[in-house]
Amino acid sequence: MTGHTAPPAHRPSSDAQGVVRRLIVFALLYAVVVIGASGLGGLIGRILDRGDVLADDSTGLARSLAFALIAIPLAAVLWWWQRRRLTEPDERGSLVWSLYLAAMTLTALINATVSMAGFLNASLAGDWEPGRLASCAVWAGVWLWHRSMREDPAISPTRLPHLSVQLSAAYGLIVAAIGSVTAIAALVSEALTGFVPVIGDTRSAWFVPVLQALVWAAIGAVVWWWHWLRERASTAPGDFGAVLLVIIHGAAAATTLFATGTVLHVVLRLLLDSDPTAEILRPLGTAVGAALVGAIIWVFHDRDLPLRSSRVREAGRLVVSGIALIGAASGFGVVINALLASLGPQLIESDHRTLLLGGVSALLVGGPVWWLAWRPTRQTTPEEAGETARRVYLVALFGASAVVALVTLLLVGYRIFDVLLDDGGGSLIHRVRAPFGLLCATGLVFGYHFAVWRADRQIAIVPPRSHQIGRVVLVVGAEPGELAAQVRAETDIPVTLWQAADERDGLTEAHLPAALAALEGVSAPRVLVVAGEGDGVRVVPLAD
Amino acid sequence: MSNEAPAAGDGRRSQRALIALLVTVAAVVIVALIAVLTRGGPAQYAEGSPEGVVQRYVQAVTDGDRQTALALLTPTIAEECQRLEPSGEDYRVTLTGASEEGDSARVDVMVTTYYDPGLLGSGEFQQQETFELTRVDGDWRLETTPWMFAVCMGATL
Repeated sequence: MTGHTAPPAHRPSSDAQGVVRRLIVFALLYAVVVIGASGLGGLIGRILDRGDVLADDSTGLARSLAFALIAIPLAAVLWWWQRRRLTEPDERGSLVWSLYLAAMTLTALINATVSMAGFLNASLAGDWEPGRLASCAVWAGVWLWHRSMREDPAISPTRLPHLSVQLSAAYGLIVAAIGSVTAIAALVSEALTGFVPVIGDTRSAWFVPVLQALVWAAIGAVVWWWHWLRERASTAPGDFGAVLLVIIHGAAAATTLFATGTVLHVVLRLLLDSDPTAEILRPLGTAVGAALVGAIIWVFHDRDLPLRSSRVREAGRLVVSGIALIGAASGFGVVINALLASLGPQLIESDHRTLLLGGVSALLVGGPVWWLAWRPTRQTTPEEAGETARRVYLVALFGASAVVALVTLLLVGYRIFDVLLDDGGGSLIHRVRAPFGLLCATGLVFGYHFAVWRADRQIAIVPPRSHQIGRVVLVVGAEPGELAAQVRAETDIPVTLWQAADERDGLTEAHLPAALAALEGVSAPRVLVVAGEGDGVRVVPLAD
Repeated sequence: MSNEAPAAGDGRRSQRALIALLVTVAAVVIVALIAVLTRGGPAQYAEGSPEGVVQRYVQAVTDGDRQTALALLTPTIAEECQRLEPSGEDYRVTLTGASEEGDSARVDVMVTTYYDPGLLGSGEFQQQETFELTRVDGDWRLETTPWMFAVCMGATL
């Protein structure tokens, strides 16, 4: 019996030789495509740049020729050889194929967008750099080629089929976000120069950096829109999509909260601090941009969380709660630090004030958001207390608290001994205040969540699973289609595919209703599902 | 069934929040544009003050007016000057502090350096720098300058 893997199944290790072969072939293909594209881009760039060249370098031309003339035919031969194999289910279901497609798609996309942005930004600055345009065209061609592979129904990957689209969407979002933040930051910083004493400014046009950042934002937005909305990465099935959504949601929340805290810090410093205005205002532009753009991304993706499942929504809520808690606890630790600093001899008052205002800002932003996300006053139901996400959240907090407590305790201990052993002496409070503040905050976080955890344990009801099955093994024919993915999606049970030697004995997509019905109420560590009469199936619970 | 109503309510709230955020972005951009377009040029400091000397020196360096720049350095440095070309980047120099003590003065500035933004770059970089001045025959002359405005070797901090 040979193994065949499909999403999100795992395969037996009997086909190790095939895995190694695929690893080598796809690694080679990746390398020759990158080298060939680089060489072709260099050659086209030379043709476009011909008029401006004063002294040509033959080394660069020789390298481009070698890269293009050797790597491109090699890539063509390698792909022709591998393309024939990809019609086999084993090859299409290979994780290596899916990873290659995702890596190459992303590499081509990054190179094309970076080249395009570089060309446009150079043009805005008054420079004509056709080499970048050539590189963009070549990499766009590589991207289109790999997109056609992904769209080809005969060879498109059956395992993690949406990985390329999802990663590309995430890349587009990151570029769009950074470009937008940079554009807003540049504009706001420029506006703030009216409020600070400028001695000199050597720039000829202040708006060029804003436009250059907008170029990045526009390119990123197009990439994101194409993949996230048009190619439907937002609704792509599978766990990876859910994890990606929660990561984007968490990263946007973290950016928004940190930036909002920074804006508040600047405002408090303007009101209460005596440092030069220019220095205080320095982070304001970036903070305003990051707060606004982060909030837009946060709210936008917050709408998508419930569309996935209630579990994903809960995960998103807990991630925000954790991030806000980190902010609030850090703020509390910094406030303690600043208070202890005020007890010692004060050389520079404003340092402690800046520290205190920083701590207060983090506490004022993190505290309310944590309160809204975690809802500490709400009565926890037994079902909530038994939820996996909540238990994982609490355990993760204990782990993080333990690490922070250990590090801060070691620091406090080191500094106490350092003061005791150091002849020069020095203020003990001054030396230990920073780690001590963090230790106090960690202690509070740990104490509260330990109480929550204990209370949860007393009332928790672990929801009964509709399927008490550890793994389903489907014995399939040569064309199982989306059977594994559908069984996984319907039952939430990990699936392994085994390929029947005789195709007539294997399951097909037509067996799905019967398989789902037969699995209801079955309880076993592993269950074997084989084809029965007609569209019927036979379910064999296996011993552990 | 019971989950649909809260979900629809959440959706509407998200929609309103999204619109409010987009309006805020537009408002920030419009206010910033108005502030930029209506501001005046850099303030002109008195020629005899340390800030004025720094201002004239920075302008001379960025204009490539080497003679004026050398005239604002102390005579010792100007006479022994080994030519150094400025970096050629774009800069904005903001005054953060100035102090005088007898025949010495210092002018603290924040120098914002602008460069082409890359994929993850912000396109600008800020750093605190100091010009040190000394009084020569009653006039303030520069003794040290930040490296990006140096026209002579040895005159940098």
